[in-house]
Amino acid sequence: MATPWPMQKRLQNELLHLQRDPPVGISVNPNSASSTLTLWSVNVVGAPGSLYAGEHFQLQFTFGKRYPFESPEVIFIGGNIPVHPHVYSNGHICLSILTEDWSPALSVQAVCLSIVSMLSSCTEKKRPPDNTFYVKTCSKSPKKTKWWYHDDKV
Amino acid sequence: MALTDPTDWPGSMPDLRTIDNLLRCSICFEYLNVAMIIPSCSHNYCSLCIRRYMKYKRQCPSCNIEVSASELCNNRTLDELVKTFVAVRPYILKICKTFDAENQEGCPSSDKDLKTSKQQVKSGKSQVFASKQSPKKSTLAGHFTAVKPSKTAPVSNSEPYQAKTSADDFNVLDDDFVSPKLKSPSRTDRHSSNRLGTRPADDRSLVNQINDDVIDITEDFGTERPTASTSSSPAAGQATPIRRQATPRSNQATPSSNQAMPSCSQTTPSGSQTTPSGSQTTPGGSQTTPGGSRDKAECPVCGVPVPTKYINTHLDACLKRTQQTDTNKRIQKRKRIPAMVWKLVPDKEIKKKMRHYNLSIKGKRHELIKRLDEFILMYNAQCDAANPKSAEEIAKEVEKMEQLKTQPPQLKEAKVFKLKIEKGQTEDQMEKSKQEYLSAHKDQFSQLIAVARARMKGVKNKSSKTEAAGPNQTDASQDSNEAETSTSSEDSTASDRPVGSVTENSAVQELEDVMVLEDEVEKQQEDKRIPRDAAQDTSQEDAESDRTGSLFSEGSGGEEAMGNNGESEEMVMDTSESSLHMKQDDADLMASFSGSDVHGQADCRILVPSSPSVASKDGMEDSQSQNMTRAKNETSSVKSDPAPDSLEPLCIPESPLSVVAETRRRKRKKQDCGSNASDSGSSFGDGDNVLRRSKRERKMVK
Repeated sequence: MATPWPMQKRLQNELLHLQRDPPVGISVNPNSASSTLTLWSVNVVGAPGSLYAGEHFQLQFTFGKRYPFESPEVIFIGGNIPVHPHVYSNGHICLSILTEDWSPALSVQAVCLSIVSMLSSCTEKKRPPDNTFYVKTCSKSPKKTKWWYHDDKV
Repeated sequence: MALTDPTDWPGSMPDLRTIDNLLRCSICFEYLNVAMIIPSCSHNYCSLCIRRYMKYKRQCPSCNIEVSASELCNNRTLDELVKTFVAVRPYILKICKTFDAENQEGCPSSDKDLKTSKQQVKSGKSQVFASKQSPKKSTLAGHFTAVKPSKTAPVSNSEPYQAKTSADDFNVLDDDFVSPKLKSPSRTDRHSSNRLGTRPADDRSLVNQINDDVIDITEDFGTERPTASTSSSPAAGQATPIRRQATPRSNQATPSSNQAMPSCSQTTPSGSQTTPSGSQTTPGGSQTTPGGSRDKAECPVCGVPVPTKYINTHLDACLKRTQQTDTNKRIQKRKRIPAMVWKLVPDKEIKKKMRHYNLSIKGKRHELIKRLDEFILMYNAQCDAANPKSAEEIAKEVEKMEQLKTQPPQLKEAKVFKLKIEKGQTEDQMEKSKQEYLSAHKDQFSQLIAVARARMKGVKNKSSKTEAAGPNQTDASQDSNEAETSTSSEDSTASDRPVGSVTENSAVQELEDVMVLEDEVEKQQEDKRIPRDAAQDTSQEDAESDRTGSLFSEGSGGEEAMGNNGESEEMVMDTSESSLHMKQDDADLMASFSGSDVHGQADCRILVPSSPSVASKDGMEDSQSQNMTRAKNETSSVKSDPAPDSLEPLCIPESPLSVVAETRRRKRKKQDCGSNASDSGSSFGDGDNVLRRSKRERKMVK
């Protein structure tokens, strides 16, 4: 109540939780979320047994001022962007919980786990069919894209 | 308050973590503050959180079931639970940690005990617990005493119980588990008091029997039984097993049972806070009944003994009175403020409402609406609370929060040397902040002026001939000499210098993206055997269009992100746009200075920092890009200008460029928009030029 932004306290809570009790294969980069708390980078390891087993990926979370009520912006960054039918080569992710299906009951941890599970359920490593076009025309923030979620298999 | 988290609990006690988690709101991750339950799915959230969320989506955040704000119900039990848990949390935590450290094996059992302890606390029976715990737990009981002395104090001294065997302990635990099911505190009490009046004889016998019993719950239960006055009677039903368990214990420790009795009589009033009169008289009633119970009956409502003849009239009066207090209570409960469609409400009405709630009516309409919305949200959330805050308090809180929000974090401000002017500021305020800024950076300004003067001397010597010529030429010469101030010149295309230098900079930024993009395109198109150059060209074109698009979107995005005063469109200038202005107004400005001497130039510089351009929302980005541009121009000026610029100070508070840009911008505002079309046309050309240039640069880098 006392803090000007309700998001700050919640983010602190989430960070604390993730640092103390991280799920397997997920770790927060401690330097990334140092001062402002609004930009995190999270290291994710592909789940064993999946096509991405052992691969290391980096996710970038950007939290807006209305964070728990509005979804964070999540993209893959770094050199290794997974080749996946729902991940564009610029790191944008087509995942419904990142936009319209977002709920404040979700957390960074939940998002990371969904992304890992999305990667795990992939059967063939390939880019989305419209990758070239999208990467050329898209805005920098995936939140500005009007996503069309048509494939719930992968 | 320190940050608490479910992970505070040792990993060996996952159940405690679960409990902690369950008592938290899944929106704010804090302990539930005025819990509201969604009846259709039974998820709980803080009142404020869920109401705020309802503005985004009308569904349960956890299960996406459709809900409307009117469906939300209070969950006071949960509130109490949270309150108690938060109070005892540090103590339980302390004990858990010591246990965890001491002995890994002991953990599961202690865990279980502690859980039961929480149940005890919840049902307001901590004294039973305290009196019956093994010595190990007596420390915990002590802690409870510290927290709630009124409840625990009378019994916590009952030493004999602490010497119990563990088997006995189990029995106690069993009893306590049964107790909440059997008895809901206030209602049964009222029941028993009713019965007490009508069946005095039974009660007396019961009380005698209960004297042997330890547990107060059994007593309550016993009084409820109409005819089962003996504990051995099969009609006693559920109560019987408890007594059987309890009896041997009372045999074992008779003195302690006597000690425990006072606590029984004390719990009764505390258990039923809603009907204090009825429960308080319970012991009294049972004691007085032996005297004159034949012709007097106790009123079931107020508990006063009344002659049997008058009991009906008395009862009527009593009931009427209670009904009245009920309605009073209902009136006392605050009504929520209904939601409004602000678009349909005129300014006057909004202001009237705000005055009514003691809110300040400063600011623009949308600010007012925002403030009022926030107030209504908090007010409605407070309506759910047991003891809602007053409207004035909420109004103060809302305004305080707003102030905090508009103030950017202190840390950031310390780093950015910027003149900040908000849109809502008055002339005086702006003037004041300008003065402050000027005085704060006086040294740097004077340094700049000195540098400029030195340079101007060189320029004068050099361009004394050209000064006599037309203004256009002067422009060009001054411009090239004064690389620091000027961003672009009219004849830049001729001299192959970038025109939209600000755009250029962003283009450089985009360059990397373009490169990545190109690589991709190349990869794909190589397969199709398309000549490489052609592929590059198309990608360049695409990239260009993409770039302009993204520039605009970035501008608006930045504005959104800043959030505070997103309305200041005037201040917010797209980078490309501003460059355009510069180019267009360059001529005017330079023309005005064409015949000027050194002093004139200096003046122009001083003007610079005071211009409100600094306050533009995308200031950070702007200044960065401008700095870069300046650096670029410097290098180019080294080529074209024989007088070197190397003495330039590195830490300049505000790039003078932006000042010039601002003056131009202002000028432009006054001008007609007639020249826009031609401007935009030329700017596209410039963009092309820039791209080509940047491409060349990249090749050079390669």
